[in-house]
Amino acid sequence: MGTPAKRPFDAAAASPIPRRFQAAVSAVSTAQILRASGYSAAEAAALRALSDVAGRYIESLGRAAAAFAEAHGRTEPNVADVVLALEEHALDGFPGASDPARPVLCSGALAELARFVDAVTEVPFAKPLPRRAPGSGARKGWESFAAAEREPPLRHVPHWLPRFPEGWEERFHGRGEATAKDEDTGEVAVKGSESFAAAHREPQLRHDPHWRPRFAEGWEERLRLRGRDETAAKDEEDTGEVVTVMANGNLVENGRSSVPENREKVLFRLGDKWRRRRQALPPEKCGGALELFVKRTEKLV
Amino acid sequence: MMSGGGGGGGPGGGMGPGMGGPVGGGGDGRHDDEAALTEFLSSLMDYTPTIPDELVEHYLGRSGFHCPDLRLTRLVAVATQKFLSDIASDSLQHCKARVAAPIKDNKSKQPKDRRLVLTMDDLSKALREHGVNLKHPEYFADSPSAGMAPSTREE
Repeated sequence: MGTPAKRPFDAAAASPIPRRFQAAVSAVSTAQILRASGYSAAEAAALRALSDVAGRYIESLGRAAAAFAEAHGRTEPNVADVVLALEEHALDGFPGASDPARPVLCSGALAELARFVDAVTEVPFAKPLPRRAPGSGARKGWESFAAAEREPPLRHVPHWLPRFPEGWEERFHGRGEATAKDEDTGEVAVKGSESFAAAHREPQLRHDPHWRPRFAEGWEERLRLRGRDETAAKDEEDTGEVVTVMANGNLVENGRSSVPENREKVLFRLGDKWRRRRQALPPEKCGGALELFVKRTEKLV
Repeated sequence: MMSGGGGGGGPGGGMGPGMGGPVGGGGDGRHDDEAALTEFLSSLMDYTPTIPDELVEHYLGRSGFHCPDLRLTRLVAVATQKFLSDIASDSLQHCKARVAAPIKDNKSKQPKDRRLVLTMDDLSKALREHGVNLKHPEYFADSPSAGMAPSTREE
C-alpha cells in the first residue's frame, strides 16, 4: 500500500524535464534505438511519428498501471500493476496467457522482457539530462499577500494575489527621478517617464503640451551640438561657399530655426551626386535647383 | 490520422484470478519465481535503457502514474525500448523485402544494402500490426509540381 502524496503538487504535473525538451529527447532516443536495430537513416516525419508513438506507449502503460492500482484501492502502482499493464499491452500475446490462474509476478511478459534485456546491447542515452530537484518544482514559487499576512501596498490589489517582488518600488519609479507615487490614493504613474505637469515644470517649447514626457536632461546641449557638428562637417567637404542644411525635425530652439547666422546660399541636399555637380559648376551660375537641372540636360543633349 | 489500437481495454481483464496466483501456488515455486523477479529487477538497475528516466517519468506523470521506485520506471523504459525495437525490426523486414523483390538488373542491387532509411510507408505497415493506424499524406498540394516526381528524402 503506497502512501498518498503528502502535498497535492507532488503528484501533479511536476515533470522532471521541461516540456519543450520532451519532443527532442524522445526523438533522439528513438533515433538511437533505430540505429541499434540496423537503420542508418530515417525520414524526418517517420522519426517524429515514431517518437510520438513511443511517448504515447509510455503514457498508455502508465495509465493502465494506475487504473489497476486504483481498482485495488491503492494510489501508487506497484510491480504487479505494471506487470498486468504489460500483459494487457502484449497484442501478440505472451507465453502463459491462456492460464487464468497464472502467477503475476513471474508472467511470460516479464520473461520476454528479460530475454530482450539479455540479448540487446546496452545503448545509454546520448547526453545526460539536467534534472530538476524532485522537491523544488513541486512547490509553487509565490506566496499570496494573505498567506504572508501583509497588506497589499495598492488599494486595488486583492489580497489573494501573489506578493510583489522585493524592491518593486525602486524599480518601478526609479531611474533617478522623484517618485510621483501617492500611496494614500493609490495613484501610480504607469509610464516610465514623467510628464511636465507631474514634475511641476513648464515645457521649454511653447508648442509642447504639459502632459507629454519631459525632455531628457541635457537635450539643449545635444541639439545644439548636433546641428553644429553637421554643418561643420559639410563645411570641410565643400568649397566653403555653400552651406547645406539638414532637415533635423520639428524642434525649434528658443523660437528660432537651427541654422547658422551667417550663410550665403542655401541648397537642400538631395544626394551625393548633387553635391558633386554643385562643386563642378561655379556658384554664381547656379541660382536654384531648376537652373542646375536645365544645365545638366543641356549637357546630356 | 493516427489512433491507438489495443491499449484502452478495461482494467478488469486478468485481475481477479491473476492476483490469486502467488497465493495459490506452491511455496518453493513461488519463492523461486519471486527470486527470479527480484533478480531481474535488480539487473535492471545495472542496465541503462536508451530512453532516459526523466523522459519516462515525464510521460508517466502525465497519465497519473506516480511511483518513487526507480525500478518500475526502468521496467517501463525497457518495455518501451522492446516495443520500439520490435517495430524497427518489422519495418526493416519490410524495407528489405521491398528492395529484394524487383530483381531486374544485377548492377543496381548490391549484396549489401547501401543505406537503410526508415520511410513512412514501412513504418505504417509495421505499426499496423502493433495496433497503431498511421496515415501519412503522400504530398501536400501546395505547388503545381507537388507529388509529380518521386523523391527520396533522407535525414
